[in-house]
Amino acid sequence: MERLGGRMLAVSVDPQSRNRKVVERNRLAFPILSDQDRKVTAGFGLLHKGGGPGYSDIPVPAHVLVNRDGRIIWRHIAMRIQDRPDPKEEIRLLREKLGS
Amino acid sequence: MTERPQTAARAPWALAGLLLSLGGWACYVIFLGNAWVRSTGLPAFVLLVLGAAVASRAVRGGQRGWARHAAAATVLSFGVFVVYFFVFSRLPSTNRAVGPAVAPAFSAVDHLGNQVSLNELRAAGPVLLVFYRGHW
Repeated sequence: MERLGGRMLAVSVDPQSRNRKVVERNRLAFPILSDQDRKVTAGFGLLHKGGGPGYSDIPVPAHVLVNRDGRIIWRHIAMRIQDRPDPKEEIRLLREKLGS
Repeated sequence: MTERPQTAARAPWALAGLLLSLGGWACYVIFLGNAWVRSTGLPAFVLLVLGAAVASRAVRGGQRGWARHAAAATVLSFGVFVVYFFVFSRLPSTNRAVGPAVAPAFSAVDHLGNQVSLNELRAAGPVLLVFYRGHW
């Protein structure tokens, strides 16, 4: 993403302290944003009500590409728990969409 | 009715069926890192169906005893995988086709405690947001 002039950020419903540990433990190169009140998740239409432990609301796994003027130019939303975009395919799509 | 003398020779069908079924589960778990395997489950489905078909042959061949249990296990195993794959794992169809066309502005705290706003981020360039189920 950085090579394409952009940034990647993760969003999770965990608290900031938990996210910090995850970034440190896995030496992630991208930040994790904390969405504990689920406002961001719900704003993107990605709320999975009752899908988490103790029937908590969690996000549906998704990748959302937002361009400079705020439009969503690509998204991959998981249909099943294990569903994630294929990394090679995603890189190809990012290059295509962001013109490289 | 007399027992077929070749009953013992038919044993491999049930065993083969069981091994195929186990192979189906194993290949799904082992290759879970592969996006295609994870999304389609195809290798597992193929092996599980084959396992059930092969084990059923032993039962249709008139074999009794453990072969029936083996065949039942392979069929059940396939059923369990279908339920796991299509029912248990399903996520709600959250605005998949529609969804917002414009990303809603938001502000959130990153892992270092900094307040981050989407408007600021996208001013610098495109942003890829990756939503996780969380609870790590």
